[in-house]
Amino acid sequence: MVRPRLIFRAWLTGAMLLIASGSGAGEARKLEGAERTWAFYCEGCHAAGIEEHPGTLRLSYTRSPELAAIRGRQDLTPEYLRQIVRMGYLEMVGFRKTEISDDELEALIKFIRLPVPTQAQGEK
Amino acid sequence: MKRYYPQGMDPARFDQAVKELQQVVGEEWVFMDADTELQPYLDRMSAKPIDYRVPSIAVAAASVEEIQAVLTIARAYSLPLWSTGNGRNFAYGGPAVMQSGYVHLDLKRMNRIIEVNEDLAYAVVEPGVSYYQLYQHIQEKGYKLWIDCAAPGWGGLIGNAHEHGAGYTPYGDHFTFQNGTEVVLSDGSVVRTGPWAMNGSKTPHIVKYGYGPYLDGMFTQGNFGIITKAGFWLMPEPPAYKPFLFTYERDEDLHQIMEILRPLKINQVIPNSPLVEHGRYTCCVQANREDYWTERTPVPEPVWQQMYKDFDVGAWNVYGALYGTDETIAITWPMVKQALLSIPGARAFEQGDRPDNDVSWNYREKLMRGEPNMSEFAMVNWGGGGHLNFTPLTPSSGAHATTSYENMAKIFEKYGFDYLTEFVAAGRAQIHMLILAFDPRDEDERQRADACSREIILEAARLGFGELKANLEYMDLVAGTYNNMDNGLAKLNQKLKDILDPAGILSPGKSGIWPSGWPEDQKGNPQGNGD
Repeated sequence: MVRPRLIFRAWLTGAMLLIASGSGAGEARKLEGAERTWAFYCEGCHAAGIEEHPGTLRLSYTRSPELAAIRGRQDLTPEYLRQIVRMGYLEMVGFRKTEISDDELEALIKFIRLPVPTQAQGEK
Repeated sequence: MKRYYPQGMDPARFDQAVKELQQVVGEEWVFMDADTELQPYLDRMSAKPIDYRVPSIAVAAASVEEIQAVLTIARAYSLPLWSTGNGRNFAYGGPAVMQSGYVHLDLKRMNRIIEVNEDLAYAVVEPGVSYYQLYQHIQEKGYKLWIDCAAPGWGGLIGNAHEHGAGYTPYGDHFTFQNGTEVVLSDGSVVRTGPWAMNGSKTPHIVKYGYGPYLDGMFTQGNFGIITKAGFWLMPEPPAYKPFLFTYERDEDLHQIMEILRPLKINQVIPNSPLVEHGRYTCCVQANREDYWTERTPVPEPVWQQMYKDFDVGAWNVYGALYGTDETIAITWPMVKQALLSIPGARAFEQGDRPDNDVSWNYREKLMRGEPNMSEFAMVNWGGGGHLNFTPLTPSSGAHATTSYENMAKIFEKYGFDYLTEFVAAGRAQIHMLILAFDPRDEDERQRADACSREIILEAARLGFGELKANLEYMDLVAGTYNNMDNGLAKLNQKLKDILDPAGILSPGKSGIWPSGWPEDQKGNPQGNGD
């Protein structure tokens, strides 16, 4: 079985190549860094999989199961995400600039809002 | 939000100190805006309002040299510094300062993994290194080593171990497996402990005791120095690992469970510390409360029983694991199984016996082999974000466990909260973990949570069960329960504090230890002064 993370890495590499051809390799590096930020600070609570992730579990109730996982949600505006990450909200704590810098936060926001790869896309 | 200043300090003088601090760490690493930058330095999960403990500023130092320069300024201006490393510790105050107006010294930027030695199985890290970070580093390098993490994997190695935190592998008593501390004292001098003090030492992180007094413990839960590096032993990945779960039907089975576990644990038949988790705890990490009970009153027993059924768990659930080789486990597993199944109604589960989506099994199975995750943090959802933890230490016996369980139940009932609890069967003693979940947006719940907390601490102390940790709000209260020999321990701490930190600038009030030179009205006054 191919692990989801490996699938994602393959997809991300593709996405980064596309971005690199457009707005520059710097952007691609930022997105790669964003994956790390996501892994260290977000994924534990907000990955897909309602049962095991506290944020996803909570949003499945307060919003809906369809909106429970935050990655790929275009309705989460950059302004809103910026506010929530820094200030915290209800059960979520805020994150300091020493954890996620302003630059890292901007890259993270782009990463969160990118369409989520499906398994089929990842295997291409 | 109001802007606060260090106690008794003139704002103009403080502004001068801030300028000097900016010169040390750079302007971008001094945070001053209470409405934005300082928000993540507040604790939104305790019984006091979020604006109860607000730093004047936060300063993020990136090296020992910068810490030394910050200390020079702090001594000159009498700035109280509240240092944190990774900055989590929620339920005990999070990253919040003890009193409004303190300068928060944030060491998260010091996040280097200095060394991982695969052969001798240890790592050396700075205060900002999180479990996730070290785990990922080890995975990337392919080392055959396990870490031992706190249940929320975003925690930090140094912070957790030095706050007396625990984990779930055989290396779960984190400070026992700490080896070698580098600490900056109040006067700026740097000390390395044990064998690490010797030039050219070949054993700084593999022998806990060198020559002379063993001092590392002095820097846990204290305010005698700022820890800047520490070594930790890591567990070699064993050839075989066998997690297990036993479930029990009745509350009163607790007595017999503890009697059975004591010899298994003390004799190290079970190498890690089994979790004896009440079904309420097992359910609260995997359910939305409102799906079962929409009132703010405690969930009634029949509803809990329905949840136990839905999640196929017991009134008590014992999670543990065996480690070694297939051959050694083939010897110990039948012993463990026979003993723990001897209680009527007991059921045993092994790897593969639970459904794929069993949250508790999945995250505990990961934790018991050191894979960080955040699943247990879902308990924060239970009350609405607020949670306070308590840790009475009881002897490992059925009678003591039952006494603690029943007496604490009465207090939770009195104040109207769900009784979420587990025992960490650590060996000769067990940690009775209590989780008080509440809605911090509700003034009434906050006040009840605060009163409940104080009663838990005092009742535990009356029973002879001291707390292992304390939330900022209850540090003085808990310190006051360790009071025999005419407050001998507090007096010794005071002497050490006055000698090691005569300026009284390091984390004043931590664990109930205050600078003796401070006026009484400046101690235990969380709101400090502001405009």
